[in-house]
Amino acid sequence: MFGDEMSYFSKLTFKRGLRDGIPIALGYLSVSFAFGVQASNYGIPALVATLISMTNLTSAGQLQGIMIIAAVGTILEIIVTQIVINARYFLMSVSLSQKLGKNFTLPLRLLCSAGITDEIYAVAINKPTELNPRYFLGLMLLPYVGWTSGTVIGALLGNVLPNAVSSALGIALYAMFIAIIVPPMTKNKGITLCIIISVSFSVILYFVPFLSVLKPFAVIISALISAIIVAIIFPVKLQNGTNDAVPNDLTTASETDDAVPNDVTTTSETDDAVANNVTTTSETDDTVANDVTTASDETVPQDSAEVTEQ
Amino acid sequence: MSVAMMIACALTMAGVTYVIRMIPFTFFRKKIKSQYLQSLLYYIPYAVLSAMTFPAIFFATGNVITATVGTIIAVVASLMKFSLIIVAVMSCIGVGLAELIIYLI
Repeated sequence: MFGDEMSYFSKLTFKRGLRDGIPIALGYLSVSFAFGVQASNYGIPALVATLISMTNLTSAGQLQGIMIIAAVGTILEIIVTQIVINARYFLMSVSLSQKLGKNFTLPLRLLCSAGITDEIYAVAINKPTELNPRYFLGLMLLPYVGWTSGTVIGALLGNVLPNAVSSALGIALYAMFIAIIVPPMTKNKGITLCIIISVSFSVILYFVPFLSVLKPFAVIISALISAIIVAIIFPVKLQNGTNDAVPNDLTTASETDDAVPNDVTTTSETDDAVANNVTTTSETDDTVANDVTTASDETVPQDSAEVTEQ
Repeated sequence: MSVAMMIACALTMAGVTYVIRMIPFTFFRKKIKSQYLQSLLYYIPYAVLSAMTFPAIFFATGNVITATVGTIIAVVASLMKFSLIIVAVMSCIGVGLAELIIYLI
C-alpha cells in the first residue's frame, strides 16, 4: 500500500469501527425488538429467541426460521429455506473478501465472517482501503449488542403485552419489509416485475389445495422462480454509472466510492459522507438497498474491463 | 415443538447462515463475474421478502380487516418515503386504531 492508503488504513481503528457501528446498532434495536415480539407471539421462549438472534444475525432469515418453527417444520425445510433466503450473503462475502489483507488471519476470518450483515457489509465495502481487522471487529460489536438486546426486550415484553397490543405489533416486521420492497418499485421495472411474480406464486401456493404439499417451500419456490425469470429479462447492468436498475441513492453511493480513493487525504470529509450514506441506508433500506450497493460496487473500475468483454 | 427441538432449529439456522458467510470470506479470492448470477443475487432479496410478506401479512394481526388496514398504511407510508421504523410504527398505530373501531362497533 502507498503512503496515503497506509495512513487511512491505520486510521481504521477499533474505536472508529465502534463509531461507525452506532447507527447500525440503533436501527437493529427496533428491528430485533419486532422480531422478539413476533417470536413470543409464536410461543417461542425468550431464551430461544435470544439464542436465535445471537447466533444468526439475519432479520428476514430469522423471521422465516421462526415461522417454520411455529408451523412445526422439519430440519430439512430450515436448511433449504435458510440457504435461499441468505444466499445474498455469499455474494457479499465474496466481494468483501477482496478487501482483506495478510493481517486477516484464519481465526479472524472465521470470526468476522459471522458479522457480515447487510448494514455492516455496506459500511465495510465503502472503505477505500483494505480492511483492518480491529476496525471490522469494532464495527461488528455494537450492532451485535443492539441486535441481541432488542430481541431480549421484545421477547420478554411480548409475553407481558396485552393481546391487542401484540397483535398490533404483529404487523411491524411485515411493515418494515414493505418499506424495503415498495420504494424501489417506483423506479425499477425489474424489481416491480420480480415482486409481482413472487407474490403471485406465493399466493397461489397458499390457497390452491392440491399444491399444499409445497407450502413449506412456498417462499423459496416463489422467490427463485421470480428471481430467475427477472434476472433474464432485466439483467442488472454492470457498467459504471449507466445502470438503469440502480436507484438514485445507490448511484450516490458509487459516486462516493469513486471519489474517495483519489483523495485519501480528505479522510474526515469522505468518512462523514460514507457515514451519512450509511445512516440513510440503515434508516430507509434494511436488507435490500445495501444489496444494491453490492451491485454498484461490482461496477468499480477494475471490473468493467472484464464485464465489457462479456 | 419442544424447546430442545427449537434449539436444534435455531442452531441449524445459525450453522447454515454461518457457512454461507464464512466460506467466501475465508477461502475465496476471485470475484463472481457472471452478470446473470449477480443479477439473480440482486433480485433474490426482493423476491424473498415479497413472498414472505404476502399473503402472510394479512394474517399477522389475527384479523384480516385490521391487517389489511395495516398493509395499506405500510404501502402508502413507504411510497411517501418514510423510514423503516416510521412505516412500522404508523402501520402498528393504524392496526391499533382499526382494532379499537371494530371493538366499539
